[in-house]
Amino acid sequence: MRDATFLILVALADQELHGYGIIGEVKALSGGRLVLGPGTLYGTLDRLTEQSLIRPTRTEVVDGRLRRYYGITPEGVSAVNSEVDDRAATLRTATARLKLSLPGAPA
Amino acid sequence: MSNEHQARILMRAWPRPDRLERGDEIVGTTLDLVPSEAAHLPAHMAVNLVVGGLQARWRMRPPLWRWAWYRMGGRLPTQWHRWMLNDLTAPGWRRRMVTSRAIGVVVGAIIGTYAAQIVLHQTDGLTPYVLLVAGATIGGLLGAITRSRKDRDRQLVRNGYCWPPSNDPPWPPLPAPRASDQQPPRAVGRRSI
Repeated sequence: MRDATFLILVALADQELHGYGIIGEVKALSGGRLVLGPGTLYGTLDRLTEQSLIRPTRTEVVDGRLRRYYGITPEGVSAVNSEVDDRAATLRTATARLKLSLPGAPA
Repeated sequence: MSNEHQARILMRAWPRPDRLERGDEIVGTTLDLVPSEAAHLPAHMAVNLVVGGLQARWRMRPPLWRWAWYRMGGRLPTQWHRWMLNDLTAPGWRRRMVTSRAIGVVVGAIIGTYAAQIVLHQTDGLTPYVLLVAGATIGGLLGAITRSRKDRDRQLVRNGYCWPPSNDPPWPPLPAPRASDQQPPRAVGRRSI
């Protein structure tokens, strides 16, 4: 799973968000490293919707601009949990190896 | 030119169904990202919007061999029906249909010409073959133009759609619901667009 996909799912894990809200949340989650453009965002949202990992929930118009909210589905929660486990296992392995290979690494 | 106007122009890179269904949403999000005092969209955002649209077009299209099969009158799996409906009903459907038929006719005529040369062991005198290709192309084009509407309708029906759309009940008629039925009857027959 790509970082953008993972962070979008994490952003939607506990709240429904519209496009602009997702971009802001992903930026915050990544510490400012990942700033999604509209093309990347909606391409990813399309794929996630096709895979039934997220779904549009409602729309509203704010200042004349249409906003569609997205929420995570139970399949999306499973997918993001699985991805978290995979990434955590990778991190544990990487940390263990670094401790062995780097003399100056913290114990 | 306002930022919104620029964004809507760049949205032309997206497939038409996406523009109709969510164009306002994508433009709204784009404008949310642009500072209100900005005179124009930032270049990186404009590029991102266009690239995203081209990728959406690519994702929407069937693979080459399915596209070729469809152009020859074959059916497409359901996952490509959104593209197919746009191809057959959106403005420009006749141009797309005639162009693809013309390309098919030209390719077929060229292959046929080479095959005839090989079979007949004749390599001199290209005039008959050029005339053959030209005649086949013109004939194919005329046929494609005159039969385009009928071909379009037939293609839609073949893929399970009732065309032209009507408010008539679906065909064949639904069976009358029985009192013992626990679930509503499923629609059988062709779908309407």
